[in-house]
Amino acid sequence: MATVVQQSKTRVIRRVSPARVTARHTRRPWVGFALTVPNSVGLLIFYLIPIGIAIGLAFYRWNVFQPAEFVGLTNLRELIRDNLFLTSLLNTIKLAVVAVPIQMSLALFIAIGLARKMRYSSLLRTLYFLPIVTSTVAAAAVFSWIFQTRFGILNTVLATVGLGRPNWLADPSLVLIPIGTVMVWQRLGFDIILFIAGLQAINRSYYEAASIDGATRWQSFRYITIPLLAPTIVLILVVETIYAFQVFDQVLIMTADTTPGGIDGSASTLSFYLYRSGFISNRFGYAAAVALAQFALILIVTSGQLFAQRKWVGQ
Amino acid sequence: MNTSEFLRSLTRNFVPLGLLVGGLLMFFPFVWMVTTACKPVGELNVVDFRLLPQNWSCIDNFKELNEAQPEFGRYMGNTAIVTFFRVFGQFLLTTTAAYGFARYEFRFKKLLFGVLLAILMVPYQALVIPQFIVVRELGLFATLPGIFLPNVASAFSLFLFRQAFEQLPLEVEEAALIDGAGTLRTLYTVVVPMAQPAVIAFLILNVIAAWNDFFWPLVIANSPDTRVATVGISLLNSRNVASGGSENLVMMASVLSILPIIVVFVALQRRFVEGLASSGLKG
Repeated sequence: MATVVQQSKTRVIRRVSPARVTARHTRRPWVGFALTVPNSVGLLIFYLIPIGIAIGLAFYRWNVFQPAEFVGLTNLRELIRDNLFLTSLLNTIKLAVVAVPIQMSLALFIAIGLARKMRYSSLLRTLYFLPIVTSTVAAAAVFSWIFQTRFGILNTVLATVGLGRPNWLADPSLVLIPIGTVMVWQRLGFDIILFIAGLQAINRSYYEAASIDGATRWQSFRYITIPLLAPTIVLILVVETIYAFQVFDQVLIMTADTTPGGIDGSASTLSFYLYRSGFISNRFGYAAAVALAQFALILIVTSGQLFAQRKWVGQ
Repeated sequence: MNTSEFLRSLTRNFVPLGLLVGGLLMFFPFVWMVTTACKPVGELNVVDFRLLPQNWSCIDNFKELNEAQPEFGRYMGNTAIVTFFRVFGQFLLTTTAAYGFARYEFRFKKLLFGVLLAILMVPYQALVIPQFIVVRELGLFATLPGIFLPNVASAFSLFLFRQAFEQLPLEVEEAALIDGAGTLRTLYTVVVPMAQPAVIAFLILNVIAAWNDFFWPLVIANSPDTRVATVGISLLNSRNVASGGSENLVMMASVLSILPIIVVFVALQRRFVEGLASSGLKG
């Protein structure tokens, strides 16, 4: 009885209009404003002003040591003819298009398995979640050692079964595989957590009704799980695509063996190229142009995904 | 046994088995990291598979790491300092701001909040170069504050806490205010404790991000006094490439750098998962 009263009480409270304030709060609006000032000033200095600089700088030539020189569209014009930039763009897209779907489908099936109660499930979850807290640098370092050509454990296994010893980290046609592997390994647990949360939010009675009507497991999955999970799927897709468009740490660590960024830029990503143009070659205006292109790519792709969601979920 | 019964027993037994095999595969890199960290140099460059070292050399390798990179302990300390100030500073700034936005009315509130929220749209790396310029102008290049200060203000955490505070009932807060508690006291003794799930989500996301950050500390503070652990590992790794045969030291440094955060994670796993799930669904 008591809990019922408690529940109805909180429900009443929840229904009150969003701007819930006490008399004292309304009487002293300046206190509210003052509370917001420190964070706002920090955001102004380290985010809003930099956004302005980011856009402006793309139209300048600047190497830190000499005053910046306005060059108009030169940087952007150079960008579309720059082979290394185009390779980096293509590599970034490849990583996103291949690694993200692999990692999401693996995560969905593992989440369906882990969402059920069974023995040792908390131990199993720990195994899948540990990589999330590991730094990408440590992850990339251990995977470079696993993928190492002559003494790496992977090639030891492959050579035993007669598949030879591929030169994973140096061969331009292979180098994205180890980089993508680190991405999948590290992000899988995060996706699993979100999928489990989404799966547990689905009302069991839908599945019961479906099984009474004689639906198979596949039909329940296809016509109940997938549609009801659509918002979670889109959320993970957007978050992981943005992540994939910004891959950097893996590239720097895993290509330290050959040429940073891989032979002929075969492992270079947009973020890596931005780093290289700015902080290695001291071409900060040009690096800002790379950043602008990266931002545009993220904006276009994620708004496309959100648009698709509206059509998909809205049906 | 008919086909459907057979299939059912198959899934009942093989799904857990598959999950276990997958889990062990996910765990393998950690095992490999630790055993490599304890192998002597002679056991690294061998073509046959040996999981465990024949001569355990954990302590020797630890000492050797201390010789190869005597500053690594300092780098770990820098990581801890930077993490602490980022998390604590961001907590103070964003909880106060969120309280202001959640509970007070003032002119241009909606406009200000909208402008700050727009920051969430901009990907972190698009801002690396201009943030570098700003931090350099402030004279903070190659300093520890240069690493954490840009991350002390946050639009994401502001949003997270404002959402949480708005959900809270007013009564307790009113009682505290009537009892004469000041605004800040009410905030930290009444409001913040009630918003515990948001606080936990905040802590998890920020501690992981700060502890493991690499790109920003690499460009802003890659000097002997101010390197953080991830930058130190990267340096060790590129030196290993030049001279070869010290994967064990790189792995030793990696193990040391991830150990503290893994211990905390295993201890707080349940809350960790709940926190991440709620933050993900809100964000």
